[in-house]
Amino acid sequence: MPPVEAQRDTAPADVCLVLEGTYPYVQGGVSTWVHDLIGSLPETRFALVHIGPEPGAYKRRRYALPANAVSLRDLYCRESTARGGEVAARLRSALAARHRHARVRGSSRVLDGIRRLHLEDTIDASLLDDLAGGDLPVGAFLHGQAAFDLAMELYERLAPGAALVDFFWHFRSMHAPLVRLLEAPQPAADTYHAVCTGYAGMLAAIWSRRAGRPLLLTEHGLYARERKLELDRADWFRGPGRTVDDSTASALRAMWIRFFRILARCAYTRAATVVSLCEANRAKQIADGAPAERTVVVPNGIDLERLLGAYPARRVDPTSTKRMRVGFVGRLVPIKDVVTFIRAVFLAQQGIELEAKVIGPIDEDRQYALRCRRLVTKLGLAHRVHFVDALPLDRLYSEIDVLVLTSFSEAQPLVILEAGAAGIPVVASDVGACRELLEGGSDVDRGIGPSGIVTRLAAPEETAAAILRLARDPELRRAMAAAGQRRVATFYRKNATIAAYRALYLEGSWQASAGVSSA
Amino acid sequence: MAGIGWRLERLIDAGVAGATVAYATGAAVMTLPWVLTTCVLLSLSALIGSGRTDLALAAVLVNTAFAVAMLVAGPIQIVISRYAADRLYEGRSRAIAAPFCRGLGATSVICAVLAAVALVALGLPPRASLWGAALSAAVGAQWTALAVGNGLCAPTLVLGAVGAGAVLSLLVAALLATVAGLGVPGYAFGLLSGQVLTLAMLLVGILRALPEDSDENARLSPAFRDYALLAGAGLAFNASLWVDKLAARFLVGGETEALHATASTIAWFSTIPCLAWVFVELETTFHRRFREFFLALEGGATLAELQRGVAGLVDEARRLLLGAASVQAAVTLFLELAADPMARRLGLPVDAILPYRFLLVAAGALALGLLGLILLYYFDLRRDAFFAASGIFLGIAVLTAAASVSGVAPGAGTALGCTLGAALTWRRVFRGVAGVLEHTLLGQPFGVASGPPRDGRGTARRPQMRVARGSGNRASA
Repeated sequence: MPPVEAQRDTAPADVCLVLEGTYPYVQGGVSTWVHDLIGSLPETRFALVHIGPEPGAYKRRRYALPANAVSLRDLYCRESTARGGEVAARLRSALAARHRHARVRGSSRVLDGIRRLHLEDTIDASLLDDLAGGDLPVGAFLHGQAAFDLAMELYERLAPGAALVDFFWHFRSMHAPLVRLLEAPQPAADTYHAVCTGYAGMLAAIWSRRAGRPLLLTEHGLYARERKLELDRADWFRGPGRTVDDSTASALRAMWIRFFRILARCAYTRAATVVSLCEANRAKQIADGAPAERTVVVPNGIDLERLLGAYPARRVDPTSTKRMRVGFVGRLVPIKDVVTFIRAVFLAQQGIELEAKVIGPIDEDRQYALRCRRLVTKLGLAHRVHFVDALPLDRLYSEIDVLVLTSFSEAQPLVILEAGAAGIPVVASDVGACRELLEGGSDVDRGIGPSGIVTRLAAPEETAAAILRLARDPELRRAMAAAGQRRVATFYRKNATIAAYRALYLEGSWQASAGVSSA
Repeated sequence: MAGIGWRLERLIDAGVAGATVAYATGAAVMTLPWVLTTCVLLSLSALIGSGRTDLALAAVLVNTAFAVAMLVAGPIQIVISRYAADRLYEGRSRAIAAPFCRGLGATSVICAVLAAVALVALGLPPRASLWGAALSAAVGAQWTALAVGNGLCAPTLVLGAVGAGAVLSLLVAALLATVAGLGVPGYAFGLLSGQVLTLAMLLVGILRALPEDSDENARLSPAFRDYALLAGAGLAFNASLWVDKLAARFLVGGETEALHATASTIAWFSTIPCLAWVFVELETTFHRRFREFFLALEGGATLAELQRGVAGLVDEARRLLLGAASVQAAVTLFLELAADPMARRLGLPVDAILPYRFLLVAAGALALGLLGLILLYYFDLRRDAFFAASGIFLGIAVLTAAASVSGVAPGAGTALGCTLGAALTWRRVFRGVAGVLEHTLLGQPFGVASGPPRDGRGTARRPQMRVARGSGNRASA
């Protein structure tokens, strides 16, 4: 797996940021956060490692790397998907690898580690050491007898009644990325910083363990829980040509969910500090296995001065009673549940004059984007709902009166902070830090008053009702706008966030030099 | 190959006549090349006349042309028939005709060139060499067509083509060589006409069975890379049919070598019933069991169900071995007991009886070895097939040579080599069949397109299984 690497400097970095499916290739909240973090710590040298699904999955970088990002290495979960004439070559190489590894029956530490991930509850240093063993080439995992024996053992223990062929492919799909990533060369750094759990968190934990350097883990969304949400809704258990039976789908789903949970626990166990963006997420991290004493909350902050500079063009009076302009700002992906937003617009427009915009990158999940567009057409909303790829900040918040966020999962959405700073009331689902951001996290904060309305998940009627309430009550909108601006100015300043990370990096370096280390 | 099993079953169900056609088809497909070679060689003296000087020339011409055809067509027909089986399995029958025709053309050209070069090198005049080249080209192409045609065409068509070609060959050869007095050229032309007729009939049958709108861009060459080991196995097995004679010729020579060659040729006829039985059983009962297992695997069977399926396949392999061994043993026993009277009746010297007895055992063992190789092809154990076929070849070559050098009858070494080779082949068969589940799963490539990756985190959809699929290949004995 030759990594694609853009190297500006060969000296060890201060921080190795391990990223998965995000910066600098995907636009969104986490990417913006990473970009801001790097740019705001110019004295810190960052080595970036990005984990993508396969070569070619991302066409181009969405961000220009700051000068202190000294290297960017791309790692992939799998080789490029073979098509057409490549299939025969891939088959030949599979058979060759099969013969090469057919007789190898001896155990491997990595396989022992994978076995323990599934069958044992103890997450400790020896597990990470096993996984860091480096004695399992990808070919031996995919085609070797020892890996097959492990797959059959896990089948018997975890999914004894499942379709074997499906179990086998899921076993491969689940672990092949891990095995590939474990083979990747490790960048030298003083601190390893993963921005999620999952494969990135696991890789960072193992690198941190190998190098004897501290691991800092920041979770925006809670990866394991987000994957569970996806898995609960996933239709990819349906193989081509036939339907997977319910018991097989259920066993496989449970295996994936447990796998992601265990990956998260490995990262939690190894991390010197586990950062979340809000108290609600911190509590969930602790419930998921993070040691409470190592968890901290560092909320996102925004550059208020810069944002306020971008807003003078805003022409909207929050109390205006003209046609209501509702905006959804975010990636067009299932986890954002844009479908609920569209349904809410459909319901709300029956009571008021309404115009809606879905603003954000639409190319991440084209199938979902198509589904949303079809729903708009089906509901007869083509003249009311517009899809806009991206807008500059000065236009973004000047063209909407209410921000609506219907996500299934969020951490601490930057868009709520930005809308708050812009004096725009928000309707958001009750996920992550949304309630905290809109109603306040502490007594002092709550005293400011609500800056938006919180709804249940996937509840278009509630979302529509909230929009209608805001549309029909200009005073409420004015009060919420003012509360939002005050809350952001008081509690969510970017310089506080940056200062916290500067301290965490320094603390990590100190811990490493003092020999303080976790599992 | 897909499709012939139910036709054979229908024939067998139709009664004695139908069953006869079914087993005769099996005999034709499995044994035609060497039966034809033997018949042609035996007819030489009758048609040309044993006293004529042309006889030696004709014998060299025919021997060389058929040997080249067998060695060239053996590996090529395995690749082409495997390619055709793969495309049928994928439902891409449009991609068969064009590569098949190109492959057939290539077989003809290679046979012709090699035969011409060999004949010139052996000192034959250019005109005779050209006849030999033409004969080799026709025979090589016909055998290749037969390997594909037996899976695509009705058994009656295959049998009709073979029968009509054989009859025409002998009739025209007799007519031109004896009545018209055209000697070797007339004889060669006669042979050629019959082989061309068989080839033409098979071609018509094959092309009728395939869609008219052929995919002209489909390529055969990648299949040669994919199935190089199977081609190697085919070459090794075909060579093993000749290597004992070569060893005897170069290490012993004289009358002993002549007796060995004659006895070997006659002994080979003893395998016809066994190989016919093998063909029918492979294409019917075994093929059904084989398909059931892979359909269960692809259809979502549990490990326990698949393990029962594997056990069933091992039982089926054992049944085939025992069945084939029983048929062969019965024929061999009868022929061993009848060896003395037969030799007297045929006017063969008493010294020919012992080699003949050894070579009956050798032929029986080799027939069982061939069955093992076919099963290895079926399960796509191509590496095992290659090593097994190479083992048979080396076993026969080394032990025949050792027997020849040590003064023992070469046939004893040949019998031991065949038996040892067959035993080692079957060891691989049982090991391979018992491990068919892991072999199939672990041989699957990872990251082959069948749908878009789902979530960008490595949870790709399961691609379509690439499984062994029973090619219907026959090692061209």
